[in-house]
Amino acid sequence: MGATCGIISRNGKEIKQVALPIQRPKFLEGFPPPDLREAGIGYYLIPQTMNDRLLENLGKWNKMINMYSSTTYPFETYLKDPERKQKLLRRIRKGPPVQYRWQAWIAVMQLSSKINEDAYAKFPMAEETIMATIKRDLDRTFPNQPYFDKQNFNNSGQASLERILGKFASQHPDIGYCQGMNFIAGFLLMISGGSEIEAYFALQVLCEKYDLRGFFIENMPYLKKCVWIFNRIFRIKLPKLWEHFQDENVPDDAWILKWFMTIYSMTLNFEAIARIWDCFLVDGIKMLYRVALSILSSIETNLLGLDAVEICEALKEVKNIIDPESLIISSLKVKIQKEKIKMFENAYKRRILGRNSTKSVPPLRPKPEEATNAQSEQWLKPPLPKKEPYSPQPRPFVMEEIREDIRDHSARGKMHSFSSNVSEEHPLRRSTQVPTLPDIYSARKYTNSFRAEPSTGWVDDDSSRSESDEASETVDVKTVLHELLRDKSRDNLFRINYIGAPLKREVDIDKKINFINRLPI
Amino acid sequence: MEVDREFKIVTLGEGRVGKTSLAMRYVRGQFNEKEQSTTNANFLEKNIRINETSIKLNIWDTAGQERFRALAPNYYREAKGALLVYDITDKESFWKVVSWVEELKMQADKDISFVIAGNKCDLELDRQIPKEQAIAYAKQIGAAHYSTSAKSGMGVNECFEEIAKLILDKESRSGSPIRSSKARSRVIVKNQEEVVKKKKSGGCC
Repeated sequence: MGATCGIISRNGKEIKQVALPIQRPKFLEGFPPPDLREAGIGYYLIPQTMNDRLLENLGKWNKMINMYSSTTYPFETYLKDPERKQKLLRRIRKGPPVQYRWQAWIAVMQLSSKINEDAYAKFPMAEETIMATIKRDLDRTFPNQPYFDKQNFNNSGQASLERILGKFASQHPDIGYCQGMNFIAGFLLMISGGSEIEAYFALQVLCEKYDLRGFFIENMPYLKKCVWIFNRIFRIKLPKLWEHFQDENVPDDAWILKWFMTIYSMTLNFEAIARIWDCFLVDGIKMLYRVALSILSSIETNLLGLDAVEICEALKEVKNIIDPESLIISSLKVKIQKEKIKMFENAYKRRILGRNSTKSVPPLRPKPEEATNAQSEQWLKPPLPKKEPYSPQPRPFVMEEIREDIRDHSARGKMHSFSSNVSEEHPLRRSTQVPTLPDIYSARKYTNSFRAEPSTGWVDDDSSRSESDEASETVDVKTVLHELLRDKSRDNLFRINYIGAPLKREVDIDKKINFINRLPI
Repeated sequence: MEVDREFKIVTLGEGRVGKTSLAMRYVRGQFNEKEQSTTNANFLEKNIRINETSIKLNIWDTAGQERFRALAPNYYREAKGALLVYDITDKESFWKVVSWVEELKMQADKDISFVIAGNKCDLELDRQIPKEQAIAYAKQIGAAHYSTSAKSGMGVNECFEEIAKLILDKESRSGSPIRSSKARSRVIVKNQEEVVKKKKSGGCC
């Protein structure tokens, strides 16, 4: 297996002749993809200059492929043995050589069993209204790539993209078509070298196994959840910047939602996107959090001096200032504990989903037993959630949030007393009911009086919080506030909100209490 | 620069009609033939001056697909103005504007001012929506209609400024100035050092 082909350097010159696996694109009869090199797709999408490190890496992968040269999908066999599987996953995370990237992705997505060429050929296209929406986006997907230029290669790129999205919409009526999918499908098409059928099933696997379905269906429940969780992590990891984003009211729509929704394929250059996808396919959604944090931290000092519009602008242009390899290296260094994500997931369920009726949100994932049952692929196609009437929702009353905070804490048995005279008989300790008025009042006095967070820097100090820290301690908030206001030297640590000013959406009492506990009073 | 008023404006309309291009042309004076499709939204701003009032326009350039509204129901919230865009070469896109008008009347701020823009006027030969019909419709609902072209720049400044004027008019008529969103936001006392630092480093404008 293998044809001799060159690796092109950045200036287009061939540097080294190496063996390349023959990419056998799977396409509909009569619609062959163009020549990879001319179209700049497949392993020509990301030109790279050979160096010793890459050569060594290539050597390793060559060895892996030689062992199983007879199969169509050479790396799939690696999945059968747990040890070898780990090895394969580790190497994919480190970055497969461009020649083997698509094969590696096929393996990690366990795609080969899903691919069904005959079925694909028979899938009908979606109904007219959906097709009209898809068609509007075809020439606006990677518009600068020659492959997606209508004039080139008999319009091969756009036609393949149209078929993938059209057939996908007809087969997945709950998802249909959502803007953003065009970039994901387009990127898969380019990496696969125009292998339309493989790209289609890869999109399907991304939606099923990687939960991207929840990014694209009505209401986008999973996307909302991920961004909510990300904001929590963002606040812990980069408190200063998070604060700044809140002060400036930087809208999520203009950056993080886009980044996540398209798995960065609109935001960065191809090399970075491919590397992010390498890790995303192995690690899952966590990688998206890591990359975002890494990008933010690398330009934190710049962002701190900008206003909302400028921040959006800067984050849009981020591809020009970030070096792909160092981005990945620093991303992989970002530590996010699984338990913490789990904790935030629970918090999200309790707070956000609990607030609205949970019924309107379809399940994010099938239950395990359902998923294994071949017949019940039905979970993929639940009835469309009822479209909520679109209306500007009034800002949830601040008190409601405070109540929730209190409820959360009391439910976890970590209720802290906010006023100085709370006894063991505190009503909040016994039930998760909405607290009675005096309690709310004291909580309000506390939360409205000041908002102060220590500037913790990069260290994830939440993890170091021990149970003893959580011990209920009685603190006179008034004294603390006076203390703060008097001591000017601490000013650079705090920003103080005056009484009566509206609260921020999320009141993190836990953190504040942690902070108060540490005060030398 | 002192800003007297701050208005939030949204661009609405079918996908591909040129919402992003219009906003980019207005704010940056650029036109990109190969604009990517918009997911979610873009956020732009521009300072203008109308009758001695300096105004900061916060422009929310939204995605065409309605599904994105689930993520940001606040697209309308506090929006004082809307630019409803259709493509003169695309019949469907005009019906979308009609449905947006209905929706805005039902849902959004009662005071919302809007302007209809028939974009891509450089493609006059492919025109599908007769100009008279569009203008008649605009008249009927009491809105201004502009023929625009993000490519040539025709009518772009005019339609955005018209929205600002409409909002100002409404303000003066109702007597109570519509407070900007900034004024409503919470009071933060930053320490002196930080303020000074910000001023020094703020070479942004």
